[in-house]
Amino acid sequence: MSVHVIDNLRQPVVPLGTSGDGVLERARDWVIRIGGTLALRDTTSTAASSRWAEEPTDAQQTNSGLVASPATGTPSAAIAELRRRSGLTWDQLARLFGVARRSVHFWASGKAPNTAHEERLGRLLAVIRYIDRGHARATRAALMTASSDGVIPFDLLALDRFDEVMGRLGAGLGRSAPVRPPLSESARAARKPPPPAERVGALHDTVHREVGQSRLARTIKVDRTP
Amino acid sequence: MTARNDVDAALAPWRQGDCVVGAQWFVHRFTPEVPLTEVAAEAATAGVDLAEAAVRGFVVVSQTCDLARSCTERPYVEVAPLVEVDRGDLRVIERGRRPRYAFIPGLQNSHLVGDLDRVMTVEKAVVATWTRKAGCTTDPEARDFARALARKRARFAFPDDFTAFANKLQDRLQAKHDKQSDEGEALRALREIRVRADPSWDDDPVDVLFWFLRNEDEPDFKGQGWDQLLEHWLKWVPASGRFRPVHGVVATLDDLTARDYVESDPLDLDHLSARSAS
Repeated sequence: MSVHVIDNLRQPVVPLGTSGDGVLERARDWVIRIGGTLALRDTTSTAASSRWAEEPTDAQQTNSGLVASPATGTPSAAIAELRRRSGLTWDQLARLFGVARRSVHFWASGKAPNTAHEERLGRLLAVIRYIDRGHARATRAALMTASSDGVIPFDLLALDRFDEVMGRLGAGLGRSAPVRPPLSESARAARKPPPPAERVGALHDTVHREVGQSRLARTIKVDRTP
Repeated sequence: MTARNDVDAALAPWRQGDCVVGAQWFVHRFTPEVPLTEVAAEAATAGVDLAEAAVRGFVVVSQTCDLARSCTERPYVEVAPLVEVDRGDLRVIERGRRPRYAFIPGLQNSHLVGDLDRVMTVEKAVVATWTRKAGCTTDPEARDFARALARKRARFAFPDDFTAFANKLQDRLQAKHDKQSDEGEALRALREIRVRADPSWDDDPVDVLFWFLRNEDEPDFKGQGWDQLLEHWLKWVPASGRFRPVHGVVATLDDLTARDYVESDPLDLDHLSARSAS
């Protein structure tokens, strides 16, 4: 199963009716596609949602040469984006899921989370995209700073109170990464380090032939110290 | 034009990696009571502490920007001696498997390489008398040469206990003919392995995170998920001594933040090799 969270940060705001947590003045429409079926939440028109469904995510604008890669919909890509945008540490992310840090490492490495965690990942990513302050440190600070009533948004995320976090923190600046055309193959190859297989087992022995001649060096000592 | 201007003009075309080929003399200091080389032993009999050894030429290791500065401002150039190697060794050096030596593309037909164990300083006016032979003519060649210099001089010194701790990982990397091992093969196919120590390498305990950086065009390895391979790799570096806990993540460069990259060090496989060989 895969989860695609389509971000429409650049689309017009749609007013939302009363939520369980009170009236929200602003809301984002976000689309969760689970298992190939499009499930819409508070959307506008079908045409608008299909346009949003085609919206590329940041993960596609890479220098890797991949375009519209399936990897953008994978849990590992979602974890990477969540981490990159939120600035949260591995431990903090683990706390949001109620798992050991090791589990998050393995999801980032390609292991499929269970259904519940996968859905939670999608929701968390949607919230983070919405509140994104434009750089990780600021976003993390926003999550970790208690508001005047003493509530810390990060704690609310851990309790699944996503709408409340979005309401408290409001829409962020979002990010607009410049589209970077890929480097040429030779330029990319020039920047690639030798693979580990070529590095390990390198020897430091002497293999050259000396010329075999020497002479005394003529020197004079000059002491310019004051 | 002054003599200094002439020197600056003569140095203008020179780049890091450029060479002078032909009979030259490399000078170094030694202690006559304990001469460590044949050259020193010969010179020691005359009671001096400075000797010159004949070499095949020199390669410039100073940065190009320092060569370009005026000789009044930057009078020195660092050079390493050129030495001759066999054809087989030349290819091995080209692949970076003899870190003592720097491959010089412009001199490969002569089987000459730079011996980075020795560096000599000369004034720019000396270089101005040399006939320049281009060593690196493309950006990738220049990068490879610079990387060879950095590898000889700028490797992070991992603590001894970490070298011992990572020994099994190194063994698996080396075991090319290991029958068991898709895990070993996958490790060798990685782009890079980096290590992060939290809070620092000097602390106790140290939280270790291995970044196993894969290539973007390999979403799995021979049908096996990277997470499964990660599970195997981490078994080769169980927590021990100061290093606990030990974590690992398989990622691409796109997955890493700049901070992740900067706050980690490339796993020093050369150093591990030297340790295990001693």
